[in-house]
Amino acid sequence: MSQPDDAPILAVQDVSRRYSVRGGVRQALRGVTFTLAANATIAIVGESGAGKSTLTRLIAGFERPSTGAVLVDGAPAAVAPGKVAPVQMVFQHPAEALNRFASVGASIGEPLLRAPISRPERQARVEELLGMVGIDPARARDRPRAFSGGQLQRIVLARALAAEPRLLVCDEPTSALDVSVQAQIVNLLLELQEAKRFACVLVTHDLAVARVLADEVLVLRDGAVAEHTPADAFFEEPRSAYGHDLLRTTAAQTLNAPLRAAERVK
Amino acid sequence: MTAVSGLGVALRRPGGETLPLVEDVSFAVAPGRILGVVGETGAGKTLTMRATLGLSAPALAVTGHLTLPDGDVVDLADRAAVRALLGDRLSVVLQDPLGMLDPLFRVGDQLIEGVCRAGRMTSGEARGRAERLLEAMGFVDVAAVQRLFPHELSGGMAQRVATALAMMARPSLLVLDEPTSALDASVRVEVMRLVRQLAAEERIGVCLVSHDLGVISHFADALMVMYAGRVLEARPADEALHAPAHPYTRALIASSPSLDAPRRRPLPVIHGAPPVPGTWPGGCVFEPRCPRAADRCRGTRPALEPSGAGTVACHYRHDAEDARHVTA
Repeated sequence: MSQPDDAPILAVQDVSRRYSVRGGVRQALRGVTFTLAANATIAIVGESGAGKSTLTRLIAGFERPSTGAVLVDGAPAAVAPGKVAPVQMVFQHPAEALNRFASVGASIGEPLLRAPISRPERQARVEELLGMVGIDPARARDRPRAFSGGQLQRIVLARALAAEPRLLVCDEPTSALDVSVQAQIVNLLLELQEAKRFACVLVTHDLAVARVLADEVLVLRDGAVAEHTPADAFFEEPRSAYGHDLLRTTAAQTLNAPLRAAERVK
Repeated sequence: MTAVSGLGVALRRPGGETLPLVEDVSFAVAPGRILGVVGETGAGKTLTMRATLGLSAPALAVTGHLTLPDGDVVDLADRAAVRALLGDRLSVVLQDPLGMLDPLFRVGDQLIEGVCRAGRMTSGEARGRAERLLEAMGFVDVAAVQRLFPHELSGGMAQRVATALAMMARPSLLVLDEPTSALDASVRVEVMRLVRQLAAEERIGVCLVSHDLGVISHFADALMVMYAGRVLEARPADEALHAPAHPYTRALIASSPSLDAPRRRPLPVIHGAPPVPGTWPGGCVFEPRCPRAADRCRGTRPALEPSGAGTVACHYRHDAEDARHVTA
């Protein structure tokens, strides 16, 4: 972990979320509590339906908890119209996250429209952001369709960081990408976090990606926290039986180095 | 053995020119075995498989031959002839399993429809087989599943129903194109386990297409690594994964995230991007990204040559041992 400040950037306090569904109520989250220090990364893992997406929406402020509180930098998480959200998001499918009729430069510059800077300053900032994520700044005028999936995810990262958020939420940021591109995006996230100092909530079903990026692992099951463990300890020995199961199924489909034939699934 | 030889796919351009997309791909799948086909997006995996199944777009020119286990040979250029085998001796499970199911019909009726219409089985035989396959796919209450409509299936259930559907006619070759990428890890492993068991029992050859070496490393018997529309390495899976001979295979393995990786340490990456069709280098197609590249690689394109129990297209395939620790 890179020297976290003392105050947590994110505090999730006894959060529950219920949805009314036909014929009753669905409890998507129950009593979830954790904090995240500045500059640290927490991986939220679990299977489909565990509540990962709900928790993400609450942290981003798209929704409010039924009970409990989500505090970002001490204030309740909420998106307000006309304001740049304090929490920025990176999604699984970058092509869907960008306006395909706007140049990528315009998309990246959008969070800066309200900043008290001149147009040329904004343009310079966009170019700087593009360079930071490894995209040729001269391509700021190109539309999304001119880029590959990996390049688009870099552009989405540039836009998310334009507003200099203190918290970034990445929802399956690499699962739609090729292995080689996935490694590039993982490395870019590490590099940017070092340079820009933001905390990160990483939602993933891929424990191998969590292994590289995360300082802590939070396992969700049926909307509740099954365990919350420092990453090194989790990958050594998960505390919960369910965490064990998750790690084992991941190991059954991950390349292990050095490769061991004995570990092929029988 | 189901074998494809000399498969090529090219885009017909106005004016009679063609742009090659896949060149000279050959592979064989033994009954009951799984061939893993890996490569990055654009390597030609899906084009190769679609051509093998007679499903290429009309604008594409396909060449090559398909040999079936009984010795029948089909010209892949004759799409209609190949497609006539689809659903019978060839079969496929697509990435989106729900897309294979008709929303208006119950699961049980869909499973038997194809084989009955083709006159391969009586409806009684087909019902019996459908039940057996659903059981083999891990369903406990088979009768209840058969009464469901597709929208009532979860992702994992739909995947298993689609796989059972693809196996109904007992095909010689079953293609699974990124079959499990939408599933949870536990469901994914379970489905692949069931597929492997059933394929072995019924002597179905399987092509498992994926960009994810992880799944392939655990389930494939043989590995075919594709890049820029061709095969770079094709060997028994254990051999290819333990002692990869092509620098591209080595780099793919190195860049796959692993559970033993140290925290916050950058992963080895393959720099750059694969070349798009029309810009393939004249020498080795991987040369611009290859840590091992030398003058010879720029000058001459290496052919697929024997290496171990398989083939490798690299001038330095015999140096694999010393180069094993070099990553990009």
